[in-house]
Amino acid sequence: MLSKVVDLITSLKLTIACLVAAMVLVLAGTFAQVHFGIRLVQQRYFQSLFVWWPPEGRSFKIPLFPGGYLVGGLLLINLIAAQVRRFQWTWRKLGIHLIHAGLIIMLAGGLFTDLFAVESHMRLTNGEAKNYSEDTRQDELAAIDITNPEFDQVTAIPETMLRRIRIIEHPSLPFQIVVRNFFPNSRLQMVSESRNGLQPIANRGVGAQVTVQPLARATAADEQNIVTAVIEIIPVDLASGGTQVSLGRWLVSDALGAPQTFSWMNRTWQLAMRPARYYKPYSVTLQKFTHERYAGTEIPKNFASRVTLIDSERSSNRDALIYMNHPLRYRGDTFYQAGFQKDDSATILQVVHNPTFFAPYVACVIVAAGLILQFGYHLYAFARQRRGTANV
Amino acid sequence: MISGVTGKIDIFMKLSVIRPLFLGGLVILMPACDRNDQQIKVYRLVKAPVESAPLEQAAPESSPPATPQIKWELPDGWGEGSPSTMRYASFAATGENGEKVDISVVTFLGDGGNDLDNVNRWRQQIGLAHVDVAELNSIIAPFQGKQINFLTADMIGPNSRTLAAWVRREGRSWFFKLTGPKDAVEKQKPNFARFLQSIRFEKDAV
Repeated sequence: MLSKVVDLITSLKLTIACLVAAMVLVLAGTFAQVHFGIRLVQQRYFQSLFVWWPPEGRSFKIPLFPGGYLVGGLLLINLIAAQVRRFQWTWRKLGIHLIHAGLIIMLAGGLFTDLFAVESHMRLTNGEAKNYSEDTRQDELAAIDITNPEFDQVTAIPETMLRRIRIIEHPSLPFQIVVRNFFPNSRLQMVSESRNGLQPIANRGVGAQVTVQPLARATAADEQNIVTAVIEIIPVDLASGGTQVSLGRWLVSDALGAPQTFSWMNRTWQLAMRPARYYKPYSVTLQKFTHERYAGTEIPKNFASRVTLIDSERSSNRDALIYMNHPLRYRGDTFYQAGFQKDDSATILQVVHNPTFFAPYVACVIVAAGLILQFGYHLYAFARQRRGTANV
Repeated sequence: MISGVTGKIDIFMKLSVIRPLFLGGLVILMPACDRNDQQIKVYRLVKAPVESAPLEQAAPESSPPATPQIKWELPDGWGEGSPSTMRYASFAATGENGEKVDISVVTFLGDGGNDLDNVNRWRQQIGLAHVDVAELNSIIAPFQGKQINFLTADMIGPNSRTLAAWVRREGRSWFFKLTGPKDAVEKQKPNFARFLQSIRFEKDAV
C-alpha cells in the first residue's frame, strides 16, 4: 500500500497530470477574468485548493477542479519526492539535479510570494509626504484612541474579520464592536435625496442621515468596492467583564470622508473604514510628477515620480527617480510607478513587499546552468563518439 | 528473492525521507489559511506630522499647460462610464433592450491630428472603408452649440454607428464621441445634440 503511494507521488504521470491541470487552470482562469475580474479569479482559481461550483451564495458547493494551491503543492511534492527517490550522485547527472533544484526553488518561491508578499499603493500629490501605503483590495476598520496628546493608539480590524465575526473584542478596546450589517459593496445616499424608500440603519454620527443600498461586488480591475458596515459599540465593564448599555450604531464606510468621533470614560475615539494601511519606518515625499505624452495624443510616453525618502532611524535622506522599469528598492519594499490621477495632480506608486523576490532570479540562473551542463555534456559525448568513429 | 527484500528496504528507507517532506509540504500549505493580515493589529502613531522634504522650486517653463475648465449638463439616462487614462470623461447609456452606448470625451494638446485621418480611423473602427478629401467634405457637418461651434461626423457601419463632434480652441482639441449599436445610437442622437449644446468653457480657467 505504502509503496503504491510512494510510486504515485514520485511518478512522472503525476508530473504530467499536474502540468496539464495547471495549463487548464490558467486557461480557464484567463477566460473567467472577463466576468469576475482579476482579483476574484486569483482567489477562486489560484489561491485555493479547489475551484468550487457554484462560486458563492448557495448552501451546497461541489469541487469542480483542483485549484492553484493543490496543483502547485502536488507538483512541488512530486518534484521533491521524485528527486529524493531517484537521486544518484554522479557528475553526469549534475545538470539534471540542477534543473530540478531550480524548478523546486521556482515553485516554492511562487508559493512563498503568494503567502508572504504584500502589494499596496501609495498615492501622493505634489509635495505630499506619507509614511504608509494602502491596500487596494482589503479595507480595515480603524478604532483610534486619540486622547493622548503625544500619540494615537490604532486598533485596526481587517475587513475579513468584520465579514466573519459578529462580536469583536480586543484587549485594546474597552468596548465590544458588534457588526450589525456588512456590505462588501454599496452605494450611500443622504436620506433626503434617497428615492428608493430605504431608511438609515445607523442611529449615531453622520450615518443617521445616510441610507445604504447593497451592490454586487465590483470585479473589474479598475472598479473599487465601497465597503460599508453598521457597527454597534457596547462598552464592557472592566471589573465584571459584563456588557453595558449600547452607545449606539455607527455607519462606517469608504464613502465617508472623515472619521467619526465619540467619547467614552473620558477617552475620545475615532472610527473609520479605510483601505488597510501598512506603516513604514520612513517617509516618502513626492517632489514632482512628470507625465510626457506622445505628441498630439494622450498616450503616455513616460511618467516619472521624483521622490525624497527620509529615514530618521537610519539617518538617511535621499532623492530617487521612479519610472517605468526603474523601481526604488528600500528596506525590503519596492516602489514601482503604477499610475497617476487623471489630471496629473497625483502619482500612484505600487509598493511591493516580497521577502522572496529573489527566488525566480536564482531559479532561472540554476535552471540555465543545469541546461548548459546537461546539453554540454551530451554534446561533448557526441563529439567524442564521432571522433572515435572517424578514427576507425 | 533477495533482490525483492532489498527493494522493499530501499523503498522504506526512502519513505523515511519522503514522509517528512510530505509533512513539510502540508506545513507550507497551512499558513495559507491564516495570514497575519487577517489579524487585528494594534500600534501607536506619533502625532507629529510626517517628516517631509522641502519642495524644490519647479522651473516655470516645465509646468504643463493647465487643462481648461469644461462644463456640461448630462442628459437623462447617461451615467458614469468605465474610466480610462486616455479619456477626459466617460459616460454610458443603456437602451430599452439593454444595448449599451459609450460616450467619450478626449482632449489633446495641439490640433489632435487632421480631420481626414481622424474620420478614417473612426470609420475603420466600425468596419467602414476609408474616404478621400472630396468625400470627407460631404461627411463633415457643422453643429452650433450654445457657446461652441463644433464639426461633426455621423458614420453608420454594418452593425455600429458613431457620432463624433470636435472643436479646437486655445491650443487644445476636444473630441466627443458616441458609439454603439445602430438602433441605440439613433435613440441617443437627440441626447447627444443636447449634450453638445450644453458644453461651455469657463472663462476663469485654472
